[in-house]
Amino acid sequence: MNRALPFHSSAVWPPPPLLVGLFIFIYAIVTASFWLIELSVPLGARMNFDDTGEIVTIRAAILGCAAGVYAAFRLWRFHPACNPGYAAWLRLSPWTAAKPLPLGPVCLVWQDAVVMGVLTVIAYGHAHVDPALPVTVFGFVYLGGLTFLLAFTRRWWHCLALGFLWPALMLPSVAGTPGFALIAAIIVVVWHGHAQSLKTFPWAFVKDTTRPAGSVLQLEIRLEVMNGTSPAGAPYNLGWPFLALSPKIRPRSISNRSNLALSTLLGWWSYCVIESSKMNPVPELILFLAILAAIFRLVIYGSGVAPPFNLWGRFASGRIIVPGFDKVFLTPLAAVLAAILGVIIIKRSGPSYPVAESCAIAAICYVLFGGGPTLRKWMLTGHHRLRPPARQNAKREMLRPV
Amino acid sequence: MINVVDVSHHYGLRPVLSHINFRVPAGQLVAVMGPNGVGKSTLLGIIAGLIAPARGLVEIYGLRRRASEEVELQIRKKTAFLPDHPWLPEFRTTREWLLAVGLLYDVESDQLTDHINRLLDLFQLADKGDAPIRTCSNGQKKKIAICGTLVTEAPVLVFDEPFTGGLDPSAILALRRVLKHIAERGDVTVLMASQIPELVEELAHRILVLSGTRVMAYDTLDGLRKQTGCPGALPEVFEKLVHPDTLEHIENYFNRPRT
Repeated sequence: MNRALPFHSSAVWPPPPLLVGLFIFIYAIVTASFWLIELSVPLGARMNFDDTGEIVTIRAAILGCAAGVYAAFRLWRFHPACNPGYAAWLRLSPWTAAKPLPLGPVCLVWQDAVVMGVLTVIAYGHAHVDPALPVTVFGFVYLGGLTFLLAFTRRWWHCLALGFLWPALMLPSVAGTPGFALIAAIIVVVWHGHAQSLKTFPWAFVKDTTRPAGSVLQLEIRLEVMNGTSPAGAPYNLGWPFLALSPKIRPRSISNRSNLALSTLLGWWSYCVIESSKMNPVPELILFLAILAAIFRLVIYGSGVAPPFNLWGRFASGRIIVPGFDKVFLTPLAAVLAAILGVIIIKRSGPSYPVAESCAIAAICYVLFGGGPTLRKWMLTGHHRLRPPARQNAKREMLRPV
Repeated sequence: MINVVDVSHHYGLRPVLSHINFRVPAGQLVAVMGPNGVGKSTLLGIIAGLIAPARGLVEIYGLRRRASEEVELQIRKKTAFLPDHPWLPEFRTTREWLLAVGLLYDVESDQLTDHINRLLDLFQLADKGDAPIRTCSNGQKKKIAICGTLVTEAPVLVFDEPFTGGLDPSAILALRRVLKHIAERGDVTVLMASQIPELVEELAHRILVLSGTRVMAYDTLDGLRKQTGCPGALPEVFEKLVHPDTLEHIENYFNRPRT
């Protein structure tokens, strides 16, 4: 016998009563407070509180928060990537992307229109704020959240496209109709990415969400020993020397394609920020940041290793330069040189300095991310000395020598 | 097998190793001996892959250390190293840690569990198997570290002073038996630094004697006897090789007339 389900593919669970009650309580308290203040003023001196800017702002903030929280609830409650238990259950079920999600869709449904309609009516009829505000906030939180979920579910191409589209909204030149076109493009990319990400379910990497942040080494490579898990699933360090001599290092070096995309993206973000804020040229700041980034790269590469012999040893052996070790300095040096070149170009670029600055930033990032040797290659083939944990802040690793 | 070709190393001004050349045939157990500070740990560190030598190269099963990423990973999978001061994750249990080490070296799970149980029994650690490592004594931790090296089932084992570190007599006996068995079986190549001539004499196919940054001798015990002209046990042969004046010094010490 077919039993009617209370909810189906085009319906979602309503927001939890706690959230609804909290919104009603806060909104009612604020409204009642204003009403009481209004009552306390003598009859002849009363004014229309509803029109004062502060009150409108407070009501707008409450309505905006309500819309934003509802958007976050829609994703948090219904997206399998946000619910490891739901995802685990789906993995065991015969569900496929061709079927509707059992707990309700992530995409918008008629209940969302009802909730937004209620908030819009309150905004227009009682709060006297821009009626588009709740919908706008809901849209940004919802689309922004989905963008993060696309990154979480490894939809890199969609993320890259969105990485270019989102900051473009800041540009003064896209105000008006181009802005609507941009938002439409964001919606299309998010929608397509979401559909594609559901097709790739189950996501094997979702279970890794419990993994705590590791050392800076994990920026590029992940030593398998760091990811070694106990029977209880907790990650831990295998100690010395297994940490240093691990026969498994995941190939996580940044590919040239990813490097190009990432550098261009960072350059584009810089351009959007500079262009929208009308910031004055700051070539010296770029040089300073490039030096910091170069030092940071050196710190990452120097973590856990030492030169094969010290400076006196270099002089004693006549090997002032040890190519196998000193190659680690080449990329940071190249990045600083690129920054110096960038400073010169920015100073000569005149009014087109935002383009010059963003190109300089992209170039520096490209050199720093992609310059050899890769961290993996450096750790495996560099002519260095692997240092025992005694000199690597071992207490943090909870290791002790025998 | 292990092939060490013209390895020289120095940390600062003072050379530690100079033009070291030797070859360990597959399946043999070679002991490295020498006075303190002569570079035994540095040599083992270079062979194990911790240190890039200033000059020279190390080959393991024909693969050159640090030649390329893939080659280095292949070598790492074939080599397990026990340093003189290993560090263990204190808050994990012995069994958890040994399991993780075995899995790191791709030991098949059923075989691994069985091997861990046998190792824990052998080194009298069965009651510590499920206890955090921090609850173990120093000697027990050393035993756990030895188990960690053995559980890898790597075809090349490098031990730096495995018999030191507070091992009790039963653990020394157990390790001695394990190494003897490995040496007799001939399927694992072992390089071991040790200062205990009696154990070396019993276990090693060949003995490498380091002195003054160089290889003073590399031969079987009989070969060393012939080389020194001393027919006695290894301690005497070793003394004759490395400290030829020691016996004379001892006699001088006791026979010197008091003034």
